[in-house]
Amino acid sequence: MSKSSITKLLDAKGVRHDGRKFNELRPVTMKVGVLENADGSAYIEFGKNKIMAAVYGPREVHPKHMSVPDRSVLRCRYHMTPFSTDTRKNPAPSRREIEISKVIREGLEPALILTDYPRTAIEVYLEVLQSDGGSRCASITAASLALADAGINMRDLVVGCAAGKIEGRVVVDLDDVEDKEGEGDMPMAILPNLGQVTLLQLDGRFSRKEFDEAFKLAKDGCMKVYDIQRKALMEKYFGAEETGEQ
Amino acid sequence: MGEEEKLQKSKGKGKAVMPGDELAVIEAFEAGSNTFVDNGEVRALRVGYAEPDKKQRVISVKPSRGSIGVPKPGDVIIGTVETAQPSIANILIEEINDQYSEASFSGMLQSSGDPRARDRRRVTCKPGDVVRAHVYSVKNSIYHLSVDRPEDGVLYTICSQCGGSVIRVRDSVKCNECGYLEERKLASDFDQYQTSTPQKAQ
Repeated sequence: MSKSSITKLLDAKGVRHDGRKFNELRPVTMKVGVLENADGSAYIEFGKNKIMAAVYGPREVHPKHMSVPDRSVLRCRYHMTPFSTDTRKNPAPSRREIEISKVIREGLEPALILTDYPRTAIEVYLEVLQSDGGSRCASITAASLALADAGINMRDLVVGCAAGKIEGRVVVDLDDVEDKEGEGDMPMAILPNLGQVTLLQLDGRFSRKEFDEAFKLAKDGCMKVYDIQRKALMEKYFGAEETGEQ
Repeated sequence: MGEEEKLQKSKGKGKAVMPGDELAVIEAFEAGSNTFVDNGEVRALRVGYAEPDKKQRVISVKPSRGSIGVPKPGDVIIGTVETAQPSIANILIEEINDQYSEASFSGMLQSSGDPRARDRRRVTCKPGDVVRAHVYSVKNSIYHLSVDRPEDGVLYTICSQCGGSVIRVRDSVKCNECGYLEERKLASDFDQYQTSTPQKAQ
């Protein structure tokens, strides 16, 4: 939907431009183990986002002097393909992609037991095939699935979901239009079982009350995404038994 | 989560778990393999099946797929010699404890310094040889390898002069084509060893 065709982000009944309620997520699907050559992989569709995640490792660090004697080095590369946006995106890593790579790495690190793999590197590659708002949250969700698929020791899965403010109302999971036209965006990633926040950014101005509301909405959104994430892993690893039993 | 409970009751196996799932409280079970303790609760580190041992009071997780191995002291590796100098050789590790490894770890094979060795200053292998060795140290971020044990040593080699096949002559190999004799530290099963097609860890 182009920007000009949107008159209002939120109508009088509180329905958003794409027909969602304030606490409703976009449709989410995930699949684990989609790539043959990676040690672990996952694919996520989060609304119009389509993101592929691949994990390699633990493997030898190159260049070797970058290795750390007592733990593994986690490397993340978030990249948008040239065809992922409405106008061609230069494939060279932009400032924004470098920042997102960093926050994803820092969002995943608390979940991983890096000290179990000394002197190695774990590499996470995230390719955005089609982008919509909230791709960093979708990426972190896919990355943690790929890491679990690679058999790397993890304290918990990591799951991301954003909240934001449009027309003065706090809503969950902004899409591209709401992100650009709205008043604020707050991506968040959590460790759902351990109850920890690993990523929290805020772009815009929120009052204390609005922040609390957004935090709660994003957390509830994360828990909904977590259910889907679990089902995707279940399907890959225990799916056959489920159908066998019924 | 009604649907999950159904999944968890798989025949003969423990319940299916994912990283972060609570398995037990530490009062009931100790943390076994592939688990960790957080705030008094034993939780899973891997996707797999929970395996409570009610006698030992230990709960562990049997992973659904093999993990990617990282060499540690005591492991037996098989690899290819990449470069060889008189007292040192670089080995590309291709198998760790009989499991194929794509991680391309490289190890350093050094002369043992063991006075009982026939020649303690030299490493007798050539680039391209397939060797079995064991890891004896991982200090300074280097996998230090040794071929001191009788079962360790060269498993496969060809003549360095003409590329012909070789046969064992005591501690040396002799070329079937040109008769060139050269020294090698051969593994005890040098004649029987057969290379297999690499299998990816599942």
